Amino acid sequence: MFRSLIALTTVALVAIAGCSTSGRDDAASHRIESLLERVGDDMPQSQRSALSDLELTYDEYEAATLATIECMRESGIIVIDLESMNNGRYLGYSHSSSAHDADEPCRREHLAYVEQIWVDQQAPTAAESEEIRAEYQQCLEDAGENPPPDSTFEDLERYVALAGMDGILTDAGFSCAREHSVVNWISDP
Amino acid sequence: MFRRLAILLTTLMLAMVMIVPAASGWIAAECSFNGWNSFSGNTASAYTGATNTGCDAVWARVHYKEDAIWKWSTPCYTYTYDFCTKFQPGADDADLGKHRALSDSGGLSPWYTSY
Repeated sequence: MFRSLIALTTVALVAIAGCSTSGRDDAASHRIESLLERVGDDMPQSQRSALSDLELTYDEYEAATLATIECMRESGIIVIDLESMNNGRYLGYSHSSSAHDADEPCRREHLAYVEQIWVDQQAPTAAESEEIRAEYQQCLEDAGENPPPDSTFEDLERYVALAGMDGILTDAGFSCAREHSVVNWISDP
Repeated sequence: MFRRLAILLTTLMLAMVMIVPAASGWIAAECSFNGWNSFSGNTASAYTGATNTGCDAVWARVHYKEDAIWKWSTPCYTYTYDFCTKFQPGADDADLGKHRALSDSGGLSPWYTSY
């Protein structure tokens, strides 16, 4: 009886864990599928290849960014390094062309859709949101920041954005944002 | 005395207007958005935010100087939230921001400039 109960509990826990992971994976797959359908043949082949298995990995995101940089260099744009942001969760670059949008053709060809999916995957799910929100708030408070009490995740994001823009966010506050933020893209040291 | 005070106050007010970066606002189809850039403590930054519910995505990038070279940052991007910010620590100066939005109906704005 006791052994049956343990077995049943184990099966239930595995099922719950499986549902949770598979729920996130399913949502991500669904978003990729609907993007592929919506964009159709207008999506460049390299990005279609990265998304065709309805899954986007970090390696594929990194490869798309590197392909963008290589394309820019082949176009004669001086690109200043691959840039890591938010503790490596986001990737980018700087360029020194006089035209700010000199990188647009290469982004359209190699990165735009991949980046859209990647950014979407960084946003916490409803289930993850409360845990991440609490950690984010605690981190900011420990850093000496004063986000409004009982802030939502979006409130914390806005607090960081505005304090950062005003030049009053501490280095420790920036570190918290690097760890948790989705919308504040902060270059890593 | 009164005239000197008035001149002083006017000068102070003008100085305040000059150092506070003004947000600029733009429209793309049914999407209204604004943005500005700043430079403080060796961090260059640019912010773009939706100001109504008609926006689907926003971008922001900043023009900054580092090691005597002027560079355009990579743009931040979001379509999950209403705003995004690009922070570029280690900068020596910054002068411009670029801001763009996509409306819910698919209208993509040009890149607008904040000064």
